[in-house]
Amino acid sequence: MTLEKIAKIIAETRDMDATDIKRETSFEEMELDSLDVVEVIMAIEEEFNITIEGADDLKSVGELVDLVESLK
Amino acid sequence: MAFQIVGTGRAVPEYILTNEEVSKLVDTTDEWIKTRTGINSRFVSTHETITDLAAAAGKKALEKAGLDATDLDLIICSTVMAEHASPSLSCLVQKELGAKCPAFDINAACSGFVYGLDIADAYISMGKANTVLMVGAEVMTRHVDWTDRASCVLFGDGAGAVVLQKGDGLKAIHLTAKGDDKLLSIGNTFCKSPFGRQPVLDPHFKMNGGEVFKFAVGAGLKDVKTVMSKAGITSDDIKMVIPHQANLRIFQVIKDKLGLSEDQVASGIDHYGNTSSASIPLMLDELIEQGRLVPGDIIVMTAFGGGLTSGACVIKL
Repeated sequence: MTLEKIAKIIAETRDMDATDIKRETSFEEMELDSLDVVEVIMAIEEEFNITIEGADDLKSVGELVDLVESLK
Repeated sequence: MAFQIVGTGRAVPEYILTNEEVSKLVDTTDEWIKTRTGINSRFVSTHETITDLAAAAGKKALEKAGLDATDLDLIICSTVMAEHASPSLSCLVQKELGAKCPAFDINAACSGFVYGLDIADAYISMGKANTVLMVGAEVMTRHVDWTDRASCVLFGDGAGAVVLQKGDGLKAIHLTAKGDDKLLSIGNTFCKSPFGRQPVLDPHFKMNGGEVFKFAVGAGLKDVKTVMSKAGITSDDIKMVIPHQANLRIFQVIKDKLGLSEDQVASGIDHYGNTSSASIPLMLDELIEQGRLVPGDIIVMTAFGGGLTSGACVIKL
């Protein structure tokens, strides 16, 4: 569920198909730069009502999902 | 709330540096810079000093206001660094213009212009000044590492000025600061001293882009909502929001979150780049000159940057 929601947020930010976004998909593959990542993080914070810190080292969708899960 | 804007002016260096030219200096491309920042070209000082730019912008603003330099009661310049540690940029502008009034500089980085407007408002409200010249002037291209492709592409130089007089143009203003030297910094260099053991700082602009972006968007949205509420206006009342020209993507988020149309967000980053505290007055003068802003229009300025500082205001032109 978290993965689906996050995939939808990323898909909206990058104008891509959410079904192409899997746990193992890396930010690099999706061509997300640092500002895109921040935009995604801000949208996630709003959606899940959480505050995310330490997102600098994240490399993949799976890592982001795990971080969000741990904060919920 | 005590002032109205009675004149605006701007000055930029002669030399225009295009993305193509930048891509000959560092490993980047026109396409990358355009899509990531919205910048096509920027003005870069070659022979012009920051004093030349600030004085030229101030002179034009006075001309448009139909006033003489001797009519000024106060000159404030905002800059991250003037030519000298002393005298201040404002004192040299005063000299160039032939004004007789007190003059001092402020530094609130990219938010400097909005901070200056707040000071001018206080002076005019208290009756300590009737006519104030506020100039935002920066030569950011001398604060960057021209071998660092991530930062050198972002900046440009210029100066923008407004003349303010007693009136009811300013409807609301709000400033913030959150001290931090990690996310965005430019180090000063000092003379060597046999006693000084302090760390030597890097004089080049350094930034954690992602975190600063987050701060800029968050502070910008919050400040704009605060001043809109204080002024009792809605998005429909706003002719244009003039955001600090840092990155096109900040504008896009602000536009979407505030429910503004494309035409309601001023963007000149394509030909200015980021000119720090000069960016808002540069845009303002350009928009007035183009007839896109006219007397009676309600505008919102929003700035954010080093410090970390931010500020926003609502002004009826």
